Amino acid sequence: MKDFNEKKFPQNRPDGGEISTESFSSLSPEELAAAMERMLDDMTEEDYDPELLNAYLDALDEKAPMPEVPDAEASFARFRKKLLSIVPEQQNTAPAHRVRGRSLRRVVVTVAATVALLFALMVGAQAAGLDVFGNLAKWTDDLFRFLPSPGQGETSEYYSLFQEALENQSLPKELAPTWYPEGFTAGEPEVWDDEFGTVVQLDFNNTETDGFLTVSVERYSNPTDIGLSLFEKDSTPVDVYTSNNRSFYILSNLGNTVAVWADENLLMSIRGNLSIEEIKGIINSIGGS
Amino acid sequence: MKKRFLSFVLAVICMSSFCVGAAFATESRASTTLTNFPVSLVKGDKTGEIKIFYDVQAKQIADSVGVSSIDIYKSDGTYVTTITGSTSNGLIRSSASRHRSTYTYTGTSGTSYYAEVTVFAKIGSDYDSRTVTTAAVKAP
Repeated sequence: MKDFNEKKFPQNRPDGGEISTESFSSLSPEELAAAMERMLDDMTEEDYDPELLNAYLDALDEKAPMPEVPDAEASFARFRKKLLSIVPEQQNTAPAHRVRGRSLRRVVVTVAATVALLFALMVGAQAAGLDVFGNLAKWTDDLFRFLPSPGQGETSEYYSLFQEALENQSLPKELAPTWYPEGFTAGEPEVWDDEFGTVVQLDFNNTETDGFLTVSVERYSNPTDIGLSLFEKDSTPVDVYTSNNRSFYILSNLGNTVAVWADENLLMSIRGNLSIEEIKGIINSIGGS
Repeated sequence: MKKRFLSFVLAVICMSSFCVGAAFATESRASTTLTNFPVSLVKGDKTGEIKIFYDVQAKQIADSVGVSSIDIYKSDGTYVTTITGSTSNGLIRSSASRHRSTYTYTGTSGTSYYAEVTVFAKIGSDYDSRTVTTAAVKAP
């Protein structure tokens, strides 16, 4: 290795005259840089010579010129070309699978959250009194017809009979229906009055169609005893039918239709081998409260 | 936006299927002859008495309707006695759609009893029955 400290580096300024670049030409760029560095180390504030410094710099620039500002894109292109010559370009398919997987999971979570929220809202609505589930069950009905409404047609001959029996037992006389299906006849109302409550019941039958119908109104002495009533039913969904602010629950029991309404310790039932439309017609004929 | 709309539609479809299933999944215990049959056990009016109340309702006017038997037990499960229903003891009624009454049993004062009451209705060739177990009551 050359010892740049030993080699003579002329100042190139004989007695303060013009700078000579002849000695610069004999030096390599490294030697010239080392000489300039030594010159700077030896230079003091008193003998600082900017022209001499510029001469060294010009000589260095001439021997090893600075490259122009590099072009980033060109440099990257050269780098990529060099890299691809070593490592071939590969098809990247994995991220697509990860994206699809994340997307499906997100959909499932969204669906589950929406289902839970909707179910909670429906249960809340049901608890508030809206028969959401019952109305959903109604969607399965596939028959529609207009039903008799209060005041239409003649009042049944059994209306006053039943009404009087109710009144005699201090039961609400307005619960007496004014309409019954044609062809049904009844006997006298039957009454039970004991420590558990009071019942007025009227049994009908239709000899031509083998039809039967029972209408009863009862008051429980102890309101909690109304919970003792367990109505037999089959798997047909329960229907809720409201008329004159009374909601009747209509059940099916193997060919028998039962409509039940309750209010505190009062219970009314209409049952028989009637169609639901006929049951609803009887319900519609019951007056307002 | 499209994904969120699809998620909402799927959620509504799921909810509808759940709710329809729930609407149909109500308890079913159909009877060929019976409609309703409240039964209760209460204290009697006299010492040692307990009263079995029943209100058996048939689907229509039945050949016979009422209580076919009452099994009485002490509250610890010890069997006491069986009362068999008949028209003569008033537990069964003929040609009626409903039989409502009270049967009084005299036991031991201070003893707690419960009853297994079997109700029935016979309409033509159709016969059906149910057994109801009452709560225990202490005889006065």
